[in-house]
Amino acid sequence: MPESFPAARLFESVRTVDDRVTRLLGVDSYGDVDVYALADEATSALAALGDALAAAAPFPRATGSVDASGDDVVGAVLRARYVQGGDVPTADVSSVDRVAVRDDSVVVPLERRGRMARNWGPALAVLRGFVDDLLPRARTLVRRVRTVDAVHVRDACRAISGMLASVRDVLSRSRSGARFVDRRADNGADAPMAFASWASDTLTGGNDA
Amino acid sequence: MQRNYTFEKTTVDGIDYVIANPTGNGEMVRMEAEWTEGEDVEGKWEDAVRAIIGGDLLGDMNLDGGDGRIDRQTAVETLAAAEQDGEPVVASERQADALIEYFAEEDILRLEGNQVVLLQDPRNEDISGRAALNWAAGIDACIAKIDETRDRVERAKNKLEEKMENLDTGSNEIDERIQETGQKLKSLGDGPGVPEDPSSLSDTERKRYKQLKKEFIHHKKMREVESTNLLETVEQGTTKLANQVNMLESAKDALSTKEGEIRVRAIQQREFPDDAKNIVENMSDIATQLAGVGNVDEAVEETDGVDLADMVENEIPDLDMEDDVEELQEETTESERSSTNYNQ
Repeated sequence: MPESFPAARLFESVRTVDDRVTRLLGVDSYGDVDVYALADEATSALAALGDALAAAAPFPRATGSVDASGDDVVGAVLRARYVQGGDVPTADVSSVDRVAVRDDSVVVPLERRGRMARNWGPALAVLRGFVDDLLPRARTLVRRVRTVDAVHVRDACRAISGMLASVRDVLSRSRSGARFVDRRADNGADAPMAFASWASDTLTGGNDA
Repeated sequence: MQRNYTFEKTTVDGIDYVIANPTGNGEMVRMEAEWTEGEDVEGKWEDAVRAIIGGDLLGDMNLDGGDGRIDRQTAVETLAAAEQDGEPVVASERQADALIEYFAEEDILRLEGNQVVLLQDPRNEDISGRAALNWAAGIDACIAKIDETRDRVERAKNKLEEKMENLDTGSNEIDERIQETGQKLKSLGDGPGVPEDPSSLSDTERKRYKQLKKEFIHHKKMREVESTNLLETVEQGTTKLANQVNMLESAKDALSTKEGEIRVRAIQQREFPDDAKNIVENMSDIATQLAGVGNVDEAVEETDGVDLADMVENEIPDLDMEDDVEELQEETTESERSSTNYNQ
């Protein structure tokens, strides 16, 4: 994966899926040719999302201590832009160093390493929220087309729901796996180390406090 | 300094005692006089100092500046609760309190307001030889804590390694989708397997083929992503734990050497060193030794998310397999719940 990853690549496909699912839930007759075309566009968008996730894997994680308070802003920017589909006022984010302003619009850099790697956490969380919201609607769609004669329409709608579910599984397990491991990797080693370090500083006169 | 006790020495049945008489109300406290004595290189009081520092290394000790200080009440409670070889170090909180004040009287530690200065800055000209030996006791306590932590880290690392192989089979639902979609693909066309030439299929079947193929590839891809993520996460976790072990081992070696030097120095002088400078100057290459470890602070920094508050909260339980699987499931449920909330 390249050092920098466009956030749009993660979100635009989901927006397309969202749009097609909304339209599919609004149609009167599932026998129309258009219905298959809409569902086909949704599964193609999901395939593109799958490619994006595969390109991003392993999902970068923050290293070092970064102020977690920026997570909220990063999440809010991504939701405003990609979930609600609006623009983000540049003035609101001027004090946050985890987003950037390019061509008068706010962007969230997603990078493999360093400080900006921390943005992956909130970005994947927003994506997960989006997918969680979409999944029950896709399942409703599957129920609606259950009695439709056109078996290819049923397959396409079931594919939307199934593909979304796998995305959801990957997103939620990546987080639970990371937490699981983190919990095991924190063992209180820094208390004795901090003491050892302080003692050595003090005993050698290096502590000027 | 406000004194809560006056002290007098007495001998009962051939044993020397110190009696602490409260200046206000309260009963007198009797302590064995040997608390402030020492044989060769180690003072008896070090048991108490070690107990306080060891019990509190993770807690309230203030390490700012050159002094290591702790709230008097906390010191009393820690000392009163401490055990050595399964035996209580002191008889009661009252004894702990009187003892701490007696140590101050004997220049073993310093009382400042409601603070106990257990470890005094060696640059302080007034530091007594006995107070300097507290550093050896502190190092001792730190080493014990390092040993304990190292064992725990080592166990966590082993468990993590063995555990992850089992958890790797977690993608059941995705596997089921792969199976199911594969079966449907095989059901297309006339042959027993997946049609080799989709153009020979009817229009409807060709469309089904197209959807099922997209879905099948997608699920396979998601399974791959999941396992890539998992491997990376586990690798980061085990690397982090291995680094911690190395760091702890090196710090321990450096500290052990240093503690030994302090005590050997004390033997050579064949008496308690009155000149604390001798002791602490002799400790001066501890930094060099620790430097070989790599910068301790940086290393701690690099280990990601090692936030003390967090850590104290997530005190590491010793884990059984079932707990882990259960916990992972809870974690998954929790993350599903909170990701739903995230969008609201």
